[in-house]
Amino acid sequence: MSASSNPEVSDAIEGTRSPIVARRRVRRATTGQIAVAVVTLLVGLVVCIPVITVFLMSLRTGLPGRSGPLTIENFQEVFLDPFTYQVLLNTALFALGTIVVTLLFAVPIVWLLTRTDLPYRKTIYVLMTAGILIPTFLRTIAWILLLSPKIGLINQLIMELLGLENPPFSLYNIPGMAFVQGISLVPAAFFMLSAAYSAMDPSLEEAAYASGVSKLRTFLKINLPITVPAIAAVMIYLLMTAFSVFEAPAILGLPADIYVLSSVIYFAITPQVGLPDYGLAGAYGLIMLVTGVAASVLYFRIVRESRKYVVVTGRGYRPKRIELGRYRYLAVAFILLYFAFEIFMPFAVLVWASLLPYLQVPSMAALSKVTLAAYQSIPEYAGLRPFMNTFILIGLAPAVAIAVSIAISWIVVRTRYRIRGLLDGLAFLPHAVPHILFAVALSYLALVYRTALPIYGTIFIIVFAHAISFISYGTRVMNSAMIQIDPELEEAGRACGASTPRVVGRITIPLVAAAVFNGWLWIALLSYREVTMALVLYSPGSEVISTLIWKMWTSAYVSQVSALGVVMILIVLVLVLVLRTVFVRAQMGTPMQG
Amino acid sequence: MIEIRGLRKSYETRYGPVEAVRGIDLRVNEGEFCVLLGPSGCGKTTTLRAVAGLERPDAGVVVIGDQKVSDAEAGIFVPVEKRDIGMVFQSYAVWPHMSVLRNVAFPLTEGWRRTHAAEVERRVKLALERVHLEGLEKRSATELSGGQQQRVALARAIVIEPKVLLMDEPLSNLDARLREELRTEIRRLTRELGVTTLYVTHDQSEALSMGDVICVMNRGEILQIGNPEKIYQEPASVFVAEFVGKMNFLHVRVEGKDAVSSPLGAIQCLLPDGFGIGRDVILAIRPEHLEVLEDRESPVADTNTFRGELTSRWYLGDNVFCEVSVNQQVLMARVPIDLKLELGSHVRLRFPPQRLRIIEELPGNG
Repeated sequence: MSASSNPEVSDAIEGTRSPIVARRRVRRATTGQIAVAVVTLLVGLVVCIPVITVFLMSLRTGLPGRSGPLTIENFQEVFLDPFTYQVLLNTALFALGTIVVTLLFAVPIVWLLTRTDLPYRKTIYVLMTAGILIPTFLRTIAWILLLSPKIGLINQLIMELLGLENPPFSLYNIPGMAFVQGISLVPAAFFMLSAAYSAMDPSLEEAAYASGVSKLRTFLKINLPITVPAIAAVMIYLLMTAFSVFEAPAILGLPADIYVLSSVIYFAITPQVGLPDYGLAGAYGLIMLVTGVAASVLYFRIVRESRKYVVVTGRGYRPKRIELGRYRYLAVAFILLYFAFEIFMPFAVLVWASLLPYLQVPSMAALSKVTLAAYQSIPEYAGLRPFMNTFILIGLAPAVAIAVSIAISWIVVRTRYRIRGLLDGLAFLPHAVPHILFAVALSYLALVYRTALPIYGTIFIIVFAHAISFISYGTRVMNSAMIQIDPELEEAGRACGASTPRVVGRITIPLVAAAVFNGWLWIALLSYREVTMALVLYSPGSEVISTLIWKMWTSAYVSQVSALGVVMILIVLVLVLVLRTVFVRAQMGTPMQG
Repeated sequence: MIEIRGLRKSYETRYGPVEAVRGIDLRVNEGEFCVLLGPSGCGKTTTLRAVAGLERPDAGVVVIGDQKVSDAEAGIFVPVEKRDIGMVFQSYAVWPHMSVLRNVAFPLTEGWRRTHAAEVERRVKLALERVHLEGLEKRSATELSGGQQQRVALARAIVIEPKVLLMDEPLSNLDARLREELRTEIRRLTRELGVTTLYVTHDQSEALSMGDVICVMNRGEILQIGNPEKIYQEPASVFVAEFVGKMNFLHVRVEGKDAVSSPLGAIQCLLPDGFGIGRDVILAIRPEHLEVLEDRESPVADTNTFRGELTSRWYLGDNVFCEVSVNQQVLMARVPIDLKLELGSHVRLRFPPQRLRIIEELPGNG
């Protein structure tokens, strides 16, 4: 120990302070405070400015950057138009339908996997995570290829077989949107519900039995009340998501003229004719924002309420699994049906459509027309740029998001600064702000300040939008990882004389390396599959694969869209497998650190 | 009264079936406090859960009071919610969404023991008084400390005045001071109620201080049943001897009717019948029974006394724990704190014949 630090130690012990030491302490505290304040301020700015922009946007008319007086004209236009109420009704019906579809699949699957002796559970878990590799907009397109009244393969097949005049199914309606969106949200609901379910201490149930209470009554009085907050939280989460999603309702709603809030906002700023109306988008956006924030507050309340229910748990005695007996194959069939809807059928139809010059029902005649032309011509109609841009995006956006998340989570989990609660809330705020809205606000800002900060229409504004939006995911992952690291491991580092940044760099981050990697990969996947923000923010030259597919779909290039879709899924599949293998190797190569 | 006959239970695990309980016979008399003691994985909790009806035995009979609640051969299995039991869990299992009052009243308002409101109120009040939780009725269960939560669980178990009380390591989540406090309280309560109790623990001091009867288990079998004195003073095996406290062991050979030869020399002791000359057995003595005397340079003449060297000592407050090396054998002893001994000094070690215990060497239980 150096001589200079000796007085400090003895002072601390005796409880007295010499002036020199006192001054040094004040200065050290300020360094920490300044760092925390700077982080909070930066996060606050990037998160709050888009939200404030939505407000300002809604109070102005005309194109971005034209200063005019604040006005409530946009709100008059929105609230006096009966169309608005039709849109709100559509949005509500779509959201409710989505929740019904999601829970219809998610609840039985959670029950089957946690409480019964269902076979193949490992495979089922893997498939549950694999669904993320198919972006929702591609799944929507694939389902159109299956169920569209005009070209849908299933419709054509049934008409042929039964000799029907009219197609039996149509996807271009609210139930159709809810079906595709609901299917896509099942994995999220599944993981949230099964986490809540397995966190319950089984002896709570056993204590009721031991009190002489029947199984049914125990379920009603103990299991249900304890899991209700978790189920309610999941429902609100789904409601929030369904209220703000854009991809499925936009792709399916446009041909049928069925609009929800998100698609109205999008079409307000990208009209077929005329100038973009940011004021109108802002007014609609404000409705969305208010509901989103209200739902988030409710969500947080319920989650906090349900945390109270997590009590001391004993040894992991799992209640006996219910034997399915001869129903087990029925159960497996049910789960297979779900995966067919979510993964197998969409992927298969994309592959099939990509191999044919035009979509037709599988037959010998169709097989003879199989060609790789749509793949071979990718360089002509796509070029290299969308691929380059996509790689820049999924390399940079997660890196920025995770770096910021590590700083935020460390402050939130490790320090005692009072501001950390605010910081945690700020980091979660992007989750409450719908992506479409966030992108519209950013695009507005970038237009207004295009001379000061020329990022409008470049790939970097998309990187920025993704990085900020996904901080809410990054901080959730890093928070839970850091909570598990014993603070004494860091304190031991500091006791050895290492500075705080060094301790974080050398001890904390290596210990949470797996979480850093998983968080990075997860955000990269979200960024790869997301089209909403990119679609609002891209310009010619900054398109990514997802926006290219979207644009080509609106121009009805079915084979090319399918081929690009298959390529997009295969690229990410290979990427995930390679990265995982490399990471596992690297982890095994380094000696255990903690 | 609890009676267990030929109880067996095995589990399927990833590594194949594991026999958790392999043929247990046990009888707990009316009003008796029986402790199941053993290391983790010895089958004690499985036995308790079979009595509760939370596990269905593969074989054997369980009788509670005069009712046969489980008989694998006859296909009888009364489900847990129909059995006349009170149960306390290690994790308290206090329901977080209910107040203290509703937790304790639950068996009387929701189960087959449902009764009218006035009676519920009277009995809940009585139960809460018995565990000293008066005045906390309105509290949410999660606002209580660990010790208070376990008292709620206890009140919930006794509010129905069950025939038998089953407790699964109820104190192991509490800190040491609270554990001792609740130990005496649980014992006072069960005596007052006169309830037959089966209590699972891995803590030998808990077992010795609480049990009327202790049943030591290992690897799914009962090794010894007896009162605490018997278990401590006359352990039937090396495992039991070591599990309930510290013990010195010497490998000896029977040399006569009352003598054995040991690595230290000849030792006089009281041999039970049936130990023939030349047989290898184990001689056991507790550290507190070994007498340590200052070495007065006089030649050792007393029987069962050996010269040794003090190799380590630990001051424990009420006594001094030390290790004495005799003829390259290290023996543990407890001596009064007045005995001032320096490390490395020579001492004499005496083995009082009436304190010596002969244990048959059982292969596989060492």
